Formats: sequence, C-alpha cells, structure tokens
Amino acid sequence: MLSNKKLDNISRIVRYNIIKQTYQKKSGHLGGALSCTDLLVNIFNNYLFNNKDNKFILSKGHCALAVYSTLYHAKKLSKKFFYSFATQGSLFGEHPSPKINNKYLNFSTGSLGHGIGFGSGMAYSKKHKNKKGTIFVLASDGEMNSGSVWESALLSSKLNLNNLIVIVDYNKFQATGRSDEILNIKPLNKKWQSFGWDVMECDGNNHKSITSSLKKILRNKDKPKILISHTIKGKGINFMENDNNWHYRSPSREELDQSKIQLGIK
Amino acid sequence: MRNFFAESLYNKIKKKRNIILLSADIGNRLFDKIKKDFPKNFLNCGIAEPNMVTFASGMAKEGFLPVCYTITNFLIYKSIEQIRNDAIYNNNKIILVGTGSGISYNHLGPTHHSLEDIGLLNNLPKIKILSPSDNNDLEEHLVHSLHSDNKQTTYIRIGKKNEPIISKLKPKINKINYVLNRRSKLALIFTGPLFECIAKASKKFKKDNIKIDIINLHQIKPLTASMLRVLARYDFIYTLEEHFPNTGIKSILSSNLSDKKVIIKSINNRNEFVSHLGSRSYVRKKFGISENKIYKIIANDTTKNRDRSR
Repeated sequence: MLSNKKLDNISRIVRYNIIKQTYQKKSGHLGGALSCTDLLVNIFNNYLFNNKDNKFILSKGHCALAVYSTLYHAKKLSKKFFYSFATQGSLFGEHPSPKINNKYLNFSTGSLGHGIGFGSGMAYSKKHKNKKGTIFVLASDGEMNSGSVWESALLSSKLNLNNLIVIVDYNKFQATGRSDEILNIKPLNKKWQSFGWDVMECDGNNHKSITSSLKKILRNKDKPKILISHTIKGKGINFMENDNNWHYRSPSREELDQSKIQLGIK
Repeated sequence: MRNFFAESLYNKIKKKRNIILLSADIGNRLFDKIKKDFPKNFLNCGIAEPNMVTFASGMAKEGFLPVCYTITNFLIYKSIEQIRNDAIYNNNKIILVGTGSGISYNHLGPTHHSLEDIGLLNNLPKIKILSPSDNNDLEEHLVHSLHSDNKQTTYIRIGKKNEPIISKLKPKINKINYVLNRRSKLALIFTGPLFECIAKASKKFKKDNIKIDIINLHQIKPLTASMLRVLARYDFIYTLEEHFPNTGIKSILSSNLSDKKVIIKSINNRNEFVSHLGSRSYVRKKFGISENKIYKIIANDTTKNRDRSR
C-alpha cells in the first residue's frame, strides 16, 4: 500500500496530465475525469498493479482519459499511446477501444449501465472456478438512472458475489445538471443496502478516507460491495469544481497554466 | 424443438463443462436434467434479459461459453445494445438461443411474436444468424456454434414444439441446403419450421408439372460466396418466413443479389402486427402464410410466364 502522501502526489500529476490532454485535443468529459482521479489512483496503485488476480472495469467509459493517465504515470501505458489520446487513427479515445491490448482495460464501455453487469459476470466466473481475486468496477452516479444497473444489483446479490466491488464516483452531477434534480437517486446508500449489498461511504477525493474504507469493506466476505464515494466534479481546480460546464468544456492555454499552478506542478 | 434443444445441450455440457446455460426465467421444468446433474451449469438470471446478456459477456471474458435462452422477442429486442456492445464489439463470444420464434406463440399476441429479430441482428457486424427448420438443423448448428475454434457470437432462432423432421440428410453449414433440387430456374426458399406449409404446396406443384426447387435457408448470416453463387443462377426466388419480409430473408437476399438478374418475391408480404389470436395455422394465414397462398402465387406467375413465352 502506498502512503497517502505518495498517492496525493500521484493524483496531482495524473490530474495535470488529464487537463493537458484535454487542452491539447480539445476533448471533453474533464469534470468527471477529475472527480474520479483519486479513486483510480488509489485502486490501481493499491490493488491492481500489485495483484494480477484483481481486475478492473471502467463502467463510466467517458472518463477513460483518467484511466490512461493513471496507467501512464505508473508506466503501464507508453508515452506514445498516452499522447495519441483523441488523435486521428488512435484507439485511445474518450471511450476505450477493445482493440487496445492492455490488461487493465478489460471492457470497452461508453454506453452507461453496462459495467456492473459485466463485472458481475467476471466475478461469478471467478467463483465458479474457485479463482482468487476481486473485480473492481468504477461507476458514475448518472449510471444509477439505468435499469440495467439495478438488474445486475439483484443478480449479484442473489449470487452473493463477495468478490465484486463497485466504486461509485458520486460527484452529484450528470451531463446536463444535478443528479438529484434529473432523477433523484437518493438515498443511494439505503437503495443498495435493500438490494442486499454491503455499503460503505467515503470521501472519494481523500486518499486517507478511500484507503481506510476500501480496507474495511474488502474485509467483509459476505456480500457484493459498493463504496459510495462522495466526490467533486472538476476536483482540484477551483474554477472547475462543481461547474458542470466542464462536463464538455476543454481548457484554454491560460486555464491550463492556472491549473498547473494550482496543482503545484513545476 | 425446445425439448430437443434442452436434451442436446445437456449432452454438450456433459462433454464440455465451460458451457453455462443462462435463462431469463423461462423453460419451466425444461432444464430439470441439467439442473439436477450439472447444477453449476445453469443459472436463472431472472426477467432481466439485458443484464443476462451483459453478465454472459463478462463470463465469456473469463473463459466460459454462455448460452442465453429465452423467448426470442425478449432476448433480442430488450437486449440489442448489450448484444452489440458487450458481446460483439468487445469480442466476447456468447450464444443466443431464442425460442418460440416468429408466431409460435400464436395464442399470446404480438408482444410475444418475433417478426423483426433477423432484421435487427442482420444489421450488426460479425454475428452469425442461424434459423434451423428442424431438430437436425438445430443439432448441427449447436455443434458448430459451441465448437471452440468458432469465435463468433451466434444467434440461433428456434421454434417451439412438434416441428416435423424435414430430411435425414446431415445439414451443411455454409452451403445451400436443398429439400428438393430439380435444377429448376425457380426456387422457393424458406427459413425456420415452415416445411409443413410447403410440403402440401409442393405436391400440387408436382401434380401441375411446375418445376421448382425448394431450399431450406437455415443459415442466414453469413451468406457465403458459394451460397450466393448458387442463388444467383435462378430467375425467380420466392421467400417464405415467419418474419417481416422488409427486413427478413426477402430483404437480405434482395440486397445480396441486387446486381443479379434474379427476381425475388415474398409469399408473406405483410409488414404489420398480427393482433388476432388463434391456432398456429390461423395466425400464419393472417400473416400471409398458407399452403394455398404459396401455391397460388407461384402457379399464377408460372402460368403468366408460360403464356408470355409462347
């Protein structure tokens, strides 16, 4: 396990690389990429890079850039591939392609509401074969609108998939506005509990909180697990935080420079 | 056909334990033998077809060969995006078996009919579409689909019960399969368990000296080059299917043979829901399928053509 200080440091660099790419490529989905950065940095560095039995599924496919940036920082993705993000002919798009040959990119999403069901199929297979390892799924709060999510919630709980953990990037926004104004998903905690899941909440932009919550929830061997991680859309850059325009916007040169200063990148 | 499917799959699971049968709460008692002898190879996913397909794709990723089974319309219409993205696009091979296809559920109305499934899936790249006309066809397609060298997601569209066996000959994959080959310039092509309608019409053709070939098109996608070569030799092709012709085999053959001289016509020309309930033959008739209609359309055309050539 990496120290929280080290993880904080990685998060800063990963965030800056995300912003730089969106500046260079004029691509979107920046707000959601920044909200889940700490979650990704934590999961990959603490549970995936050092354990080949664990697997990761990105359900909120539109934030693939945050995964590329996390992999790139850890040298699990080459500079050439990372810099090819959103360029002509590249497979590294805003949504990942299944043609990418990288063991950390197991499933190409883009349409929401697919990752939990897919992850549960993988988790069930592992149990079926008595194989070790946990399936980590990163989902968005917007996805909680989808019926397919609740279909997989039911099946995973029936099958007692204790080797499945869903991490919700609960940044309280979706494409066009506040999550609770579009379709109120509250109380999310009680909903999942009533579906038979082991639920925990954490501050998803705080490594100390993420690390201790993951440790605690993964110790439980009874049920499928969900970590509802409260995050801030656009986290790390004061003029992006909680401003939903950054769902689609990309930064100007000046905004990139300001971001660099705010993140303390030299 | 569904009983035969259950029996055949039991035998396949016996030999190959990575086959998992997933059902969306259908097939009451049908799979009792599998459940009893191979409980780990059966899973009822509940009435949640999209999740069943996504879940199956996740299992395929981990080395299983999932077979998703339920009534065709629910399996395909509810899950089209999951079939497209999770199975096909992500290269996770699954087998989709739709039961009660076409208007097999003649007493249950249009919500239980599947008259668009071939068209929907034909739109998707890489998928195989198989439409067995009897249990022999089904067996051959199951063997072929479950073979590990075959990496393609496959849809098998089956009937319900009591379909007659057409012929004892082993069906051929990737080839045109004749029920009757008289080297005619006319062909009647059907897909699915429709032979009983054709058999009677066929006797009348013989009596009237109308020479026509009869083809059982149990493989709809891919249509191989050799299959198309055989079909391109005809002057007239008549199609018969429990499916809307505007997206079914009529349309698929027309687009594949558009640069050939062959004229393609559908016996069943209705593209509307069939709301009236009744016996299978009654509902078929409402949809535009009857032995009389088959006979009349083809006999009329043949007489006209004979008159013209005189």
